[in-house]
Amino acid sequence: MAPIQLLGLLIGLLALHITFIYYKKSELEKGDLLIWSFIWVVFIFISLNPNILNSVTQHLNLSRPMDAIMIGAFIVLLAVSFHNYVVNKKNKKNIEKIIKELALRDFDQYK
Amino acid sequence: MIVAIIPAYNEELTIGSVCGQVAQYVDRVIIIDDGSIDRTSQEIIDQHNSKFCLLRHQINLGKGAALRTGYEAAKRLGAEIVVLLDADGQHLPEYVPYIIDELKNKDKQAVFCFRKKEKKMPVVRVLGNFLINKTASVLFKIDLRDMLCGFRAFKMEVMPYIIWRDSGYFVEIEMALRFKSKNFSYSEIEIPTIYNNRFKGVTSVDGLKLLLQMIIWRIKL
Repeated sequence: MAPIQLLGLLIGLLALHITFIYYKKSELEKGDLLIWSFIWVVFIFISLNPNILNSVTQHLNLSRPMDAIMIGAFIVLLAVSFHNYVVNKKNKKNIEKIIKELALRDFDQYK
Repeated sequence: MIVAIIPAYNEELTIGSVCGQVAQYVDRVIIIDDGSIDRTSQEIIDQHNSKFCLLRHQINLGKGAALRTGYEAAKRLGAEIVVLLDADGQHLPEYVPYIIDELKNKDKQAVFCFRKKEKKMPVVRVLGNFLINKTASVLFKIDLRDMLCGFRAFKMEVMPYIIWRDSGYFVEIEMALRFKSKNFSYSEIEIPTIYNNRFKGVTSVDGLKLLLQMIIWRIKL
């Protein structure tokens, strides 16, 4: 086992553990636990068996499985950033709406 | 009805005197305490002025958001003219009558104030203002002399057309850009330059962000 594979395994196991702790603290629901656990298990599996990505790398004309992982990770990060941007914008709007309504709640006294 | 809208964030030192002076020239003064952690609101309450309408944001949302709340309040009061000014004493209330005169007697739909160029203005601010005004002129063909000056007034009828989306300090620019895009009539009044606190207001980093935002507005507006 190459050192990077060992590192991947340790990170995957740590992530699984942290995910379970969040579930126990009720910060994640059962569905979240299942999804994220699946993701970390896949991560560990790929770390231990990188050759399963060979067919993917051949189809994408890439020379190494690591390139496929990096590109895939980049795409996932972009998607997550975009999602966060949209959610953040919506939350900001909702927060302002609530704060404004609270501020104007007793405004009739000034009329 | 003429209403002054004054957003304030931690301005306990000046809010009382600014609002007290402005109240002489307008029918109502709407103060929006934007989540201050000092005695800003208490200074207003202590004045017991019947013209004051104090609104409080429980958290700091930014100048643009505070002005939106103020505008909503002005609408509910039936305001015909709104005068916007800052709470930090940089905008002298004694200029309010001249502003109102321009709107009422010269039939303008807005008045924008511009700060007199004086030696006491920090160099960074002079350069920043020049760069922003120049960029606005190139991108939007707009010729306001001081786009960052928050001392301005509008007839209420134009407000729905210029409602801004920005919640922070860029509101001044966005308001001016939206106003100009509708070709409403306006005039400009020169006011003295006063700087009380060098570490408040738009910083050089904000200025860089603003330049980028103006490019985005050029596409969107």
